[in-house]
Amino acid sequence: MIGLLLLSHGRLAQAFIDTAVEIVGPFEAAEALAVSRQEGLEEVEARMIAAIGRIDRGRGVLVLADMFGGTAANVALRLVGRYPIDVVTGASLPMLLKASSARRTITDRGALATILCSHGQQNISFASQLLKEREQDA
Amino acid sequence: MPESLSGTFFRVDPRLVHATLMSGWVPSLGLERLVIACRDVAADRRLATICRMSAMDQVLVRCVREEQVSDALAEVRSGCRQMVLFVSLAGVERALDSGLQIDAINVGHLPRADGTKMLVPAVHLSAEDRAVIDRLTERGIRVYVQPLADDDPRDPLTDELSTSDLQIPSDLLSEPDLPPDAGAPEIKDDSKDRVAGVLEVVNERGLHLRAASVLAQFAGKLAASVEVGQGGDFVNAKSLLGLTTLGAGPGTKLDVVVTGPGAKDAFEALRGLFARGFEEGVGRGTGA
Repeated sequence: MIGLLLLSHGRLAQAFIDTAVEIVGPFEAAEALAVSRQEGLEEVEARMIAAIGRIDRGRGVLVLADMFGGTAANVALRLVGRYPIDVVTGASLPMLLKASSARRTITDRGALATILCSHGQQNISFASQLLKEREQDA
Repeated sequence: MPESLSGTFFRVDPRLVHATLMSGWVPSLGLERLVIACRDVAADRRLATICRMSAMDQVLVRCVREEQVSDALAEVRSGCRQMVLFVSLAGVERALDSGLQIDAINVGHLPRADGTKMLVPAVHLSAEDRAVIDRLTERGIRVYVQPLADDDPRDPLTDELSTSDLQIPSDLLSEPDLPPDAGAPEIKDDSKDRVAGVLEVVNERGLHLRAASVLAQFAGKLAASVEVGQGGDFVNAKSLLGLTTLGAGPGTKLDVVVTGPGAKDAFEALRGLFARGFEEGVGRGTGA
């Protein structure tokens, strides 16, 4: 199974996991890591490397970071190539729920990353506008 | 962050291009370009690429060594709104030693490490950091701490003033031997009032470090806020560093504004302290 490392500013990453567990049950090989504004990049990097070591089951780790360009994602990007990881940004609850099921069958990190990005993007919508359009069509 | 005449801002933040910068500072200052001043980033293609990616095409990003900042700033039209990001205070000094001229620098993020003291959650200062801040101040550069664009800028040194921190002889920082009538006035906390007036610096050496320390400690005991300034530029009188930047020599007439509970009594007590030359007496050549 591909490991899953949630990264965020503040408590968001842990909240993502806690919420997903409530919806679909326990997550194997998954951890949350919060970046605090007190920490230096080296400290964040060291904690990230330790977490990757704990959750890598041989297929590496997919890092799901809260936002593109954020410190957590930037530190993870520095580790690409040095550790068996890939990095996806813009983490959301739908992406995490998708990961829960997709990780059971998909063993390629790149494939899992692509699926999660696509699923995350599909879940962003102007929903009420969509509703109006549907109602007009009907 | 105060408006920069040249449209160029300077900040210490080892996170470089990241969320606080792109979501806060870039829009609030209307920045068009970021100059990353860090020899490690300039020499590491991966790190430079991460910086450029993180800017998401909202601003231009240029990565240079600290020694190249002046040249990098001159590459664009004048008036271009730029921010120079340093990873450390030491990096700022390297840039200055190579000819960069700046008037103010924002310390936005310095992480905790062994031997550092927390000033605010995002800024921790080591003894060396404080020494650099002293040297920057001596060069006439205003150093202030402001992690977020919405934060109030604050003075990095006076908030944790202690003997060892500033390497000022201990007798200068001990409780000044004020006469009984110079103690903090009884606070009648029944009004939020404001008293302003002009007070003259009458001691022979002016508002030098010791005198400024006496004034800052005196003002620090007051419940009211005290601002001191000249020509419309005010500093917080509870800030030693702020007071020393006034450069108020003997005979200088300072505008003093006291706001808050007990303002009237506080102003009178300050008038007494000024008149006594901050307990140094009245010098020659002053009007008092």
